[in-house]
Amino acid sequence: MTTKTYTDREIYKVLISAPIETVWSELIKTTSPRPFFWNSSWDAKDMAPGNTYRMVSNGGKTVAVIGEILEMEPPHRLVHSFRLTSLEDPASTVTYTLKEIEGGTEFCLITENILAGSKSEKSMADGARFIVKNFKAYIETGKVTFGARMMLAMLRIMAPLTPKSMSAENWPAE
Amino acid sequence: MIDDNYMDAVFQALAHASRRRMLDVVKEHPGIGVGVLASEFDVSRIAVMKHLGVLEQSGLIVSKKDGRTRRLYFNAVPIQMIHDRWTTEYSAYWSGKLTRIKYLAEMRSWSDEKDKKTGAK
Repeated sequence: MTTKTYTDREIYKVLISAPIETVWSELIKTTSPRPFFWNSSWDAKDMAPGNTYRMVSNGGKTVAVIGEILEMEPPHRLVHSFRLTSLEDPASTVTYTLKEIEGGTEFCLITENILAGSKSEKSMADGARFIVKNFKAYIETGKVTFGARMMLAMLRIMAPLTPKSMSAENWPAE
Repeated sequence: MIDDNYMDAVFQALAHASRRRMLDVVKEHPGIGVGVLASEFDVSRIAVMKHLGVLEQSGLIVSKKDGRTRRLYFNAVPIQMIHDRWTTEYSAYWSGKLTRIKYLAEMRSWSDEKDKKTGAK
């Protein structure tokens, strides 16, 4: 049997023209769907370390991501484990770091320990770029990019075709 | 404005062959140490550090301290921003096809050359 290798780390960094508090609160807001997370919402008993979370969409019918909150240091750092419900791959780690700079905030999304060569690796690389650029656009302009808006409209139309593996009943909240 | 300054820095960083090669190396080896990267290049360590400074300033490279070494990571986001600014979904599709044809053609002519040299048919 071959041993499995995991990616070291990938970093996606962007500068956002907004105060660090705004960036932080938009990142972890649980009260409305996050367009830069494909219109899914954080669902956790408490957004604090030790709690599991789900990324819920489609009016509560779909769960795309599950994991656990590992670290939380407002407004600078959020670390959580990350598993796509549509794939069998093991969980990886996602870290968000925020740093105050002149005129705004330096925002990093860092992915670690993804199974190398897995579908999750490709999916998370594409996903991370989507999140970072649309998070910036959303905070600076109030909406995500044109391409992302098309994609979200498409997702709404395709909602009935969501794979069964992502169905919320398979991923109950703890 | 954050974005214009940032983009100036990105283009300036890309406007040098050594720096583009450094990006290639860092992209291929996420987390490569500064020393290892420097050893890949025939220029002085000081020159490498200077280039790295420009690349970090532009955001194309992000470095993280790990004990006594500084590990380097390629950040694709500035390139993505440039791409998004001047391409629409359709033009990206067609230019993607064209670049693929270009790469295939180049690979083909490269292997033809090799065949000729080795005397294969």
